[in-house]
Amino acid sequence: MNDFEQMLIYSRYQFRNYVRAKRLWILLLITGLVIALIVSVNAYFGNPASETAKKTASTFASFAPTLVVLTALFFGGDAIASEYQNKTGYFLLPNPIRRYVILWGKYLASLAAGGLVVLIYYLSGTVYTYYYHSTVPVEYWYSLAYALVFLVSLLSLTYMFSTFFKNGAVALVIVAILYFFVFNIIDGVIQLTGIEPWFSITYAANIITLVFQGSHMGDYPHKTVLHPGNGITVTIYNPYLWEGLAIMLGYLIISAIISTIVFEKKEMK
Amino acid sequence: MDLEAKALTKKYGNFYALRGLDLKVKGAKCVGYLGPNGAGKTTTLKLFTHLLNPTGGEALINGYSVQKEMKKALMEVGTLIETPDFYPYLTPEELLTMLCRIRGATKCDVKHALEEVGMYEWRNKRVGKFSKGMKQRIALAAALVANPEILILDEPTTGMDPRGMAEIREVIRDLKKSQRLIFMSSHLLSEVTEVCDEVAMLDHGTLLLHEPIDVVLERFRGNVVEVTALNKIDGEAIKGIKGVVSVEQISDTRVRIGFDDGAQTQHAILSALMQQGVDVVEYRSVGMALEKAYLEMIGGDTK
Repeated sequence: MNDFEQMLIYSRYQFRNYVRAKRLWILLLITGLVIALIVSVNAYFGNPASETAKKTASTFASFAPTLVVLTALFFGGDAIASEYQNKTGYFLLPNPIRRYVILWGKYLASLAAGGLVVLIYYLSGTVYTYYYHSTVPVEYWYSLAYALVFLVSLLSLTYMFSTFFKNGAVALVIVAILYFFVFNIIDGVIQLTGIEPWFSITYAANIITLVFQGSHMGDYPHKTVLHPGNGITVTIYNPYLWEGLAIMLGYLIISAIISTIVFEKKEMK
Repeated sequence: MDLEAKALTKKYGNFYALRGLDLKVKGAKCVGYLGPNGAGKTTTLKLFTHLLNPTGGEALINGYSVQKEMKKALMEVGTLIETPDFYPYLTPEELLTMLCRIRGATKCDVKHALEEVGMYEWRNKRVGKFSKGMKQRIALAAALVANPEILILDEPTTGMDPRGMAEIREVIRDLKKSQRLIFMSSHLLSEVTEVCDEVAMLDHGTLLLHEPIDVVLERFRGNVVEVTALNKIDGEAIKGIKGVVSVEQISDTRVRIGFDDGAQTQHAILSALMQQGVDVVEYRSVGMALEKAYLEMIGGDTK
């Protein structure tokens, strides 16, 4: 039995575990509520039929980055830490299966479960946009692709954090704080320094919505300098599409290497 | 089939959890691994199952280094370490099937493994709802399912009720008959006496003894017997029997006799009692030899 076959087998059973778990259903419920909110608010306060298909689709895609963060948290936050805390590691680790196979088998299952949620969300947006405009703009599919790349990358980063801890709840809370507060604060503060936050994954994820801006894809300013007064200069950066992808890919590779090394060395004390 | 520790050492800071363990167990048998809490028993088993990395030395299974050739080393090993938990939304049948498929095991029998531990009727229920004892049974089934030739068991009856404990001991006895090497840690001296062929004792990370259990039992045999009879036992008359050093009259029909030699004297005392007209219904050594060995070599409380 080679490592790849073992990874697929483990991943399949993990996915089954995720599908039956409450977490998936809670996340689907949140997704459903958000969809209902977008549809009802737009119907009540706006007029989707009178706007462009691109505008309608972009309204839907605007929640996608937050959904991806939630998905990564739900399926990755405590994924590895729980193996230690819940002692499931005692069941699986003393078998002829390499640690990285377990790590990436579980990652694939999380990705499949998380991807399912993102796809369901985008499918709803497709139906919604098509209902009003009888077409779906090509930018929407790019947005979906970027959202999936963001999921792949953020989940890898989340797994990396999860390998650092032995307590699932601690891992989950710390990762939530990082994603919802720390990264956003850094992105905000950095605007005052004039430095492009090329090192921030949430900055890179802006391409999910930026793709809708301008007359064609990528038609938006990379750098905007504002002078709101009192000698303050605010520099707003928007990542190029290729740049956003490169940053996310960088996060994927680096966090994958670190999490693999950490999990290989980690002991079940 | 063999397990071998070569100068196996595990250190946490300045504390030695295991200090240069040299131990080899080979062939179809059960080896009981005894020691007080913190002696290094579980550490040893975790080093043999790749859950810990040694600070020094090597753990070998069937000649393969657990650290360097993990897949080959663990291929013929079934393990039960501590009380593992399981993915809560999977059933016992799914968990064991997954394990079989991951191991690529050709000798897998999920049904038989679940039947052996008395969990077959629960095969389609989600494990998340099981009690600790039920999970321990599933964990043992997981160790058995691929039909491995070596079993590494860490206190396998932990968390079980008395019936469960008896059933698991029966399973282990059956396993011995099917030509396997069982390396089992335990706090329960009676369990090891009942089930194992060899005993290894460990304290403060150092191996104190590794011998066949018969040898240990003979060496540490207790020199006190307790006699129960149907009629009254005359304690004074017993004192006259050769080799008897003390007689404690517990009741009219029960006495505890101390003697100063081995099995020959023990037999002679019984013969003399019969000749004196005592209707003996029970004649047994007081205190287990293994407990005596444990207390002499390690000291402290035993369960």
